[in-house]
Amino acid sequence: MKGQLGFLVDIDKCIGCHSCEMACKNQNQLDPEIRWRIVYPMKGNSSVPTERCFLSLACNHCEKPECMRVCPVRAYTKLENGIVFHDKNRCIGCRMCIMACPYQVPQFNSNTKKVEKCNLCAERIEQGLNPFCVDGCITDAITLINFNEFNEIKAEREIEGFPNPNITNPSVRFIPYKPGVQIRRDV
Amino acid sequence: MRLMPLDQKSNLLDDLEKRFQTYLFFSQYYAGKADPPILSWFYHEMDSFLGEHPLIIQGLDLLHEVQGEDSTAFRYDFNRLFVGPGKLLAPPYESAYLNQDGLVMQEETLSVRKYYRTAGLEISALGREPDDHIVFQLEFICYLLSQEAQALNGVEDDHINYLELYRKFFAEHLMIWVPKHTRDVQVHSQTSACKAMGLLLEGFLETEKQALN
Amino acid sequence: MDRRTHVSRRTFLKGAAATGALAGVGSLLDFQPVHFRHAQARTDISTEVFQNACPRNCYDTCAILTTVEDGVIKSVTGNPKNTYTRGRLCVKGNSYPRIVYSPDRIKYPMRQKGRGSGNWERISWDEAMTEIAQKILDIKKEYGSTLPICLNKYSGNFNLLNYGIEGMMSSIGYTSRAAGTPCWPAGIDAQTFDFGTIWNNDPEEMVDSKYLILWGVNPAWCAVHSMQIVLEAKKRGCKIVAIDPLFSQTAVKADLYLQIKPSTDGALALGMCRYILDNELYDGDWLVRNAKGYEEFFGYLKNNITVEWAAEKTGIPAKVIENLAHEFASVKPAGIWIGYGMQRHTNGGQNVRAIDALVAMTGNVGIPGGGARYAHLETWGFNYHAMVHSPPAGSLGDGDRLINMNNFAAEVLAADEPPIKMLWIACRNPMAQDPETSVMQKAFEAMDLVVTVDQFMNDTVKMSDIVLPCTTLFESPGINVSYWHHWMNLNEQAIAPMYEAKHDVEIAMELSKKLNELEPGSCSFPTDLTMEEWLANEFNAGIYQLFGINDWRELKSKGPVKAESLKVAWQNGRFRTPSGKYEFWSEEAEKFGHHPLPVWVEEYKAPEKYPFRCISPHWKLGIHSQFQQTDWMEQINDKPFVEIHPNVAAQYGIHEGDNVKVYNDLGYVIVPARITTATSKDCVVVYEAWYKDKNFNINYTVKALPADMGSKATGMPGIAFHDNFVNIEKV
Repeated sequence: MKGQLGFLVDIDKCIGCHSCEMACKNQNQLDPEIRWRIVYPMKGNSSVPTERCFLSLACNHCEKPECMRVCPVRAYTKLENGIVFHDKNRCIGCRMCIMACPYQVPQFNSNTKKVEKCNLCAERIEQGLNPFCVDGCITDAITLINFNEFNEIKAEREIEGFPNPNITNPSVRFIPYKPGVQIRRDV
Repeated sequence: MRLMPLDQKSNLLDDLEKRFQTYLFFSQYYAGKADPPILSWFYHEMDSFLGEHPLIIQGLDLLHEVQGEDSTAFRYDFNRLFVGPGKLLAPPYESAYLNQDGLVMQEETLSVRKYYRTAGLEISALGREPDDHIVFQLEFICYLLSQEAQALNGVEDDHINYLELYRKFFAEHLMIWVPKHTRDVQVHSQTSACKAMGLLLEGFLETEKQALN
Repeated sequence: MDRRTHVSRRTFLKGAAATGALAGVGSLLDFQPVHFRHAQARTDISTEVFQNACPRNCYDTCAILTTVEDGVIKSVTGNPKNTYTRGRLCVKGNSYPRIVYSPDRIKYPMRQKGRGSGNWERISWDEAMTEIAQKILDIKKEYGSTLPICLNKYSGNFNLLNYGIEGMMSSIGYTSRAAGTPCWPAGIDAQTFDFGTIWNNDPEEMVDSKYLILWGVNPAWCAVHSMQIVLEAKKRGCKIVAIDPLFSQTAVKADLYLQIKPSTDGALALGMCRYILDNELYDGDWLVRNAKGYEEFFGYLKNNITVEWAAEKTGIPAKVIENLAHEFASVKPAGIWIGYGMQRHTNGGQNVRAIDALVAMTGNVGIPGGGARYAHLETWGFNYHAMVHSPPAGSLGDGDRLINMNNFAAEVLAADEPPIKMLWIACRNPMAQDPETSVMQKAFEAMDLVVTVDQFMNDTVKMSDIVLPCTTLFESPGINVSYWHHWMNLNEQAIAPMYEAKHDVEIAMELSKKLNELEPGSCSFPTDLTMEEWLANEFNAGIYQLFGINDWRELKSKGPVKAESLKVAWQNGRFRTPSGKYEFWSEEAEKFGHHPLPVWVEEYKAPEKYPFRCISPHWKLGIHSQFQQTDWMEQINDKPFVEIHPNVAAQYGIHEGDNVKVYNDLGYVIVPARITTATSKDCVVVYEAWYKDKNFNINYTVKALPADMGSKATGMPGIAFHDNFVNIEKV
């Protein structure tokens, strides 16, 4: 598959249940402290309390990946389907990528002394399967998209709490939360 | 006295015997078969060929005190460290130390299982106890040493190079995790007996590591 | 020369023989390893997939697929054949392999010398069984009956076979039993008075609703697979309304959220009923055909209820109530999902009856997409062969003595003639989960023997004399159904039991053998059945017919099956009440001391000293004391917290993360503050859970205050967990 794969994250559907994150961890057998996907709680505002909306983020498989640019040993490659692939065998654990990534995606594993991150389940994609997080999401809030064909008008490139996308052009889009009518006490 | 390198043929059987008895004793200890009187006997009988690694000297000095120690206190301490029912203070499983998630029955356990199978063995409690429990590992080494001795005596005619298997297993498994484990024993043991046995095991392995190199 | 420099092999061997310490374990030239056998010849390592069933006390009761390689679990995932689970597991289910293979599992039977001392010795199963059996026989001899033996078992594992532990108790004679349920009894009684029993529509058909009220329920945390159905219904145009005192994760997804004053749900429902009555929006045809006592109910509404009054009680403006009532009564099908949280009050049962009445008077009972959905037990008609056993011949007494599970500690201490001397705890962690923790401590201390069956060290195990290791769901077979969805999931044994763990039924068989060995005829529990036989004995023609199978073994190839005929509850209009109708007027309710009608009962109000209601709902990373303690969960969240409204926090000088003491006359907990508009000014929120190595237990503040209902269907009233009043201070 050619193009640019990425994630569409529907914040309106996401219930912050962490199943995506845990499905990733379970299926990829990650260390306890390593989280390839993280469900971040969002700060509240007048229409929603803190920690009631979430940003479920993994690697954003950027068009212009900073991790790849700074890696001294070329552990990162951009596959033709757009996946930013990190090769653990080449990694020397120098952590340059950790400093460079605007989204704090690469994580240092203190056991292996190497960096690791989400490779968008590259082997599963080759078999025509979805990444584990997409299949594990209870409410279908995460979708695998190919930017060559993607034209959902409701999708946003920027969202509060997500770093400026202009540096690396991350392959992730968001559908924002649409609050309903609320009759609340004490607000 | 230092343990002689294993390839000096003249002493080989003797050296095998000492190693065998030492491993056997530690495996019996971890299987819960020892108590302060036995450990105290160990002190008197065994001290002379355990070598002079500082940890061994330290361990033997501590073991000297064991004679008067209360058997039940030792037993509770032993269980807190190695058996349960609470969170184990010094888990006797290789995987508990090496597995990235601290889980048993993962890659590390299965790698040990593979070693046993290379020698034609598997644990009787397959699938029920983690294969990498220290008792199994020590007993496995006893088996390898015994097979080697029988081969030397011409009893066994086998293609497996048991000594080589022992060296590899020692380097790739025992030595990788047991020192971490014995350090946990040092930190958490409340009785001289458990502490001493931890020191002795670590000292013995250090000595053996040098002997094998 | 150092004394350590010389020794000969012979001296050493002589020493060994002399002490006999190592006698028989072998010598260098003749060594047989005791823990090994010859490896079985194998060409390749097989990978197998097994069906498992999540047995937790959870709406979703998921179907799991477990991949096993060389006898070791590699991964778990949801079973796509179960269309409720949809091939997906929740955050808890995905963490299962970490529980099975944690090095910290309880591995062997162990005996503690001094409860709480941490001095444990390993014992064999035989020793454990001998000690326990001997104690049972001694008690029987001393007191003339087995009543001093008390079982406290509940919801830790809802595999049907786990009822074998109750069976074992019945098999030794009449005993004392923790009875009732802390969970849902007030609501069960309410629906039993109204409908005759609990029976909810298939949750999968909620997608067909046009109007759905989620009332005091938080599926986004506690039934995630149903939340997906709710969101799908919303997508198809169903209006989703959430009513909750807390702005829950579910509430933020609703089209309309109403923040109601706690425990006033009945007032809102009755206010809506009054509006519907006045505006003739009720379904008169349905009422004539199906209902008893609606005239009396209408009379009650006219004489006692107004929308303005409901607005005053609930804090929801009258206009909003009218609008809600109008919408609800004008669309069909319209349904309400009634949560368990809203019935954990001293007026909880009445509030559920009022909501039932709202659904019934609008004719939404018995139709797809409608319903007063609470729970059901319709798929639970198994034989309970493991559970039901007669006492041995000659047993004295006239039945078990019931100890209220919801006031367990105090009732154990108060039990007399005979007193309670021995506790058997299974599938429970009362030291952490029950109210009045300090009284529980005293109750444990008063025992001669405490036996706990569990997988991990916890507060209850710490206070036990003997702990017995039990299997995880992957290590024993079983069968599971849900009290919400209509599926049946087979649980296959995927791996051998680790260490010396045994299933509750196997433990029961062991104990029975030992009792009969010591005193023939002292226990009637069967001892010669295999686990498969135990499983087979649970099935009957009714279950087979309901699920459309001829033999339970079909499930091995077929996978999970659903009881399709249960899809729409009460569609045939045959209610199981004494009158056979839906009963607005219930003489049964009257018999149990309630008003026969769904009437308003005043909520429990805050005492002056303790102005805050402390609500302690379920937490999304655990269920009761399970899951939150695992390291994967700890990475997401590793500490409890108390939610406080910003205005209250400002008033008390509390900032985000400050330690706050939450206290009342019973006790206190100290937890960091989380300041949020998710709660109101009169409520603080502490999610109930068990955190490893943390001195946190909200139940130190919870009084065993009974809910209004529960006695009819479950034997005991529920607990008004959410009528807990506290004060707070910054520490």
